[in-house]
Amino acid sequence: MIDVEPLIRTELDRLVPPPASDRANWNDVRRRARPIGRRPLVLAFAAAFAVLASAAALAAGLGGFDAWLRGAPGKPASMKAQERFRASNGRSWAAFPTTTELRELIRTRTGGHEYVLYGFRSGNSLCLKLATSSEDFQPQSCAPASVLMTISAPVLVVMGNFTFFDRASRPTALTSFGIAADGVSRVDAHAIDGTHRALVGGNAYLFVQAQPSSAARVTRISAVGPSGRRTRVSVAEFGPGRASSGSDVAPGPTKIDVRIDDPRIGWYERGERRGVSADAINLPKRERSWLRGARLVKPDPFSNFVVGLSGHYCLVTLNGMGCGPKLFPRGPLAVGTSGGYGLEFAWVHGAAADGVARVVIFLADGQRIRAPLKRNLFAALVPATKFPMRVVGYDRGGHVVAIETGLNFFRGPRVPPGAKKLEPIRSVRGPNGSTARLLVGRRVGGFKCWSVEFGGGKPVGGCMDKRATAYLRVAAVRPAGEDLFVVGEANPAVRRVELRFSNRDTVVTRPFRGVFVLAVPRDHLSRVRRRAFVVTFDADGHRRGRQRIFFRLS
Amino acid sequence: VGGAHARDLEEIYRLRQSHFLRVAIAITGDEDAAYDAVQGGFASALRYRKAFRGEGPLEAWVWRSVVNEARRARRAEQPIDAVDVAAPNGTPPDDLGVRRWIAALPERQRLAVFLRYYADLDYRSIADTLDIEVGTVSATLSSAHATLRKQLEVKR
Repeated sequence: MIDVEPLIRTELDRLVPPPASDRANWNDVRRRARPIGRRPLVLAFAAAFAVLASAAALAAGLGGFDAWLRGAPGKPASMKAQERFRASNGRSWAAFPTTTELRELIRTRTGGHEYVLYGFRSGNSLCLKLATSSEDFQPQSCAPASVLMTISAPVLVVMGNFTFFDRASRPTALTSFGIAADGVSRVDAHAIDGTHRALVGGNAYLFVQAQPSSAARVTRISAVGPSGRRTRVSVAEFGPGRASSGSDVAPGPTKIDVRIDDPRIGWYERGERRGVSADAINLPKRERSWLRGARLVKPDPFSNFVVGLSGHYCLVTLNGMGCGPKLFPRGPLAVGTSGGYGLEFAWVHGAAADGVARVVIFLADGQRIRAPLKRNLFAALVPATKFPMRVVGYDRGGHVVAIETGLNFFRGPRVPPGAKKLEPIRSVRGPNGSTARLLVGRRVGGFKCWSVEFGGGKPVGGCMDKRATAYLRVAAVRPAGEDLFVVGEANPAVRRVELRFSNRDTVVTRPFRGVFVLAVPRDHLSRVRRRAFVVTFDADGHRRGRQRIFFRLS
Repeated sequence: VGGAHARDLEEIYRLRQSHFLRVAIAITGDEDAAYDAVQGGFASALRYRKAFRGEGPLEAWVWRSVVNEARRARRAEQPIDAVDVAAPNGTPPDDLGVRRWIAALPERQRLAVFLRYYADLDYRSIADTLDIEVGTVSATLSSAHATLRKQLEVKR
């Protein structure tokens, strides 16, 4: 008789491998749990990670970031804002020091709301936060100060894309912000719907677009530096072939010099109360439950990033936890990553066994970052687009005692070059004469790439992974001349795509090799934002997907 | 006194979200739909937590909510008789056909298999989740095993 249990387990593992837990979002659960009428502002982050400097950027001017390095960009924030910032830092140990000075960089009003971009430096962290009168949540992102020492572009994208949403999940503003060098006279945000001038001031830039169309995002930032030369900096996106450092191999040592047998952390195993107790610090309740009993450390005392150990072999941060049957199943380092949509920099954090005296992170582009290490715990802020990375542990004698690779968290899969050979499939003409030309490639190595050209401006496109099973993904709402096109991807099962308007007007098409292009009819073209639904159907007429979209001419 | 605490639900979510997600992916065949089902299932449990009467483990109660959401999502997207075994993650072909047979199992057997092996639930929790007796869980899993064993023996 065959024992089927092991076979079932193996096959189920192959059928659905353990998913990454990075999508866990309790706040989203809480939001969904609220009655519709009282649902608060819904935040959705556009997935975007910046490539810090394009090849063109390498030619740009150097330096000009003195104000940031001194911690004094812009002007002092108002007393009220500074007090609020100090109070918020004072409420929790997992925050910046209360002496951190908040600076006001840019203040603007658009779409009926006021936006204030603040900045501050704390230790090696340069941080920007955007406050708006429309909601309490203030998106914040930090970059390591050391990046400014090596950057050659006159701008550093810190938050590539952040979209504010209202209570009805309608996008209210698309934003992008970052650091600008002295003498930067102009910054432009190149978005799906065209190029928009960003505000520049206080050694920063801020782009705010009110009432954006659905799937709007910034793809590139360009800046005119003191020399008058324009430099472009890409804002990468998630997905196949995107957010890629262009390298498959993480540099750094590949051989262990001295082996640490049975790696462990003595104080943790003995139950000694080192670091700070989560119970003893004033964290909001929602951040406390999985930190219960944890011993926490701030490897960089000037940052707000906390890492700790709890329970039975659990590595914890304020964002979540990872547990296993052993703390060090693969060697003397246990490594995690912590980042988020739109954030250009991620935290690489972890635990190092006794005997590891120094931890160095080797980025895909060859840069090395030494991670602060305290009580066997380490954390460092790294560019999210420089994966894959290699984390290496050294002993006191400088011998390599630990190597952790496979840190590929933020990097999309690599697309074979053959998949990028595209052929024209179809053209769609808008009611005002503009044309969208669809090009799609053959599936190669599991990937199928496509592009839509509009006779001017940047095409939209992407590559579909065969693992993608969604029945519908609206990739872009793209103006071209006086026309507007809706472009998206559909599952192979989809045979018909409809664009339905509120007055029951409907435009019908079908996907061509998985991609569809729809032109918005003349009667629905407007510079005032409107709403419609994209609906997909299979061969039997079953509805497979439905997505609400917002659109308007630029 | 009935009702569940939000912090207990949150703890289950923090510790077990990936297990819930995995089961939901197995049911819906779509990671996005699965994510929505997990979030929706927990949201529903959170909203109606006062309705929890403590007659079984809290986690099983949440499982029921998530599984129901996932089943609803599947029904909305795809007729149940059109179940395909297409692996959503590009896994290699299955020489023995076990995945195909798992997908071809009756829904209750398939759900029991998923809950047993993806979620590591015990029979009591599976029973609470699927709203059936413990003995029925045992019989359901036995039937699933028997079907698969038979298919394998034929194959060999």
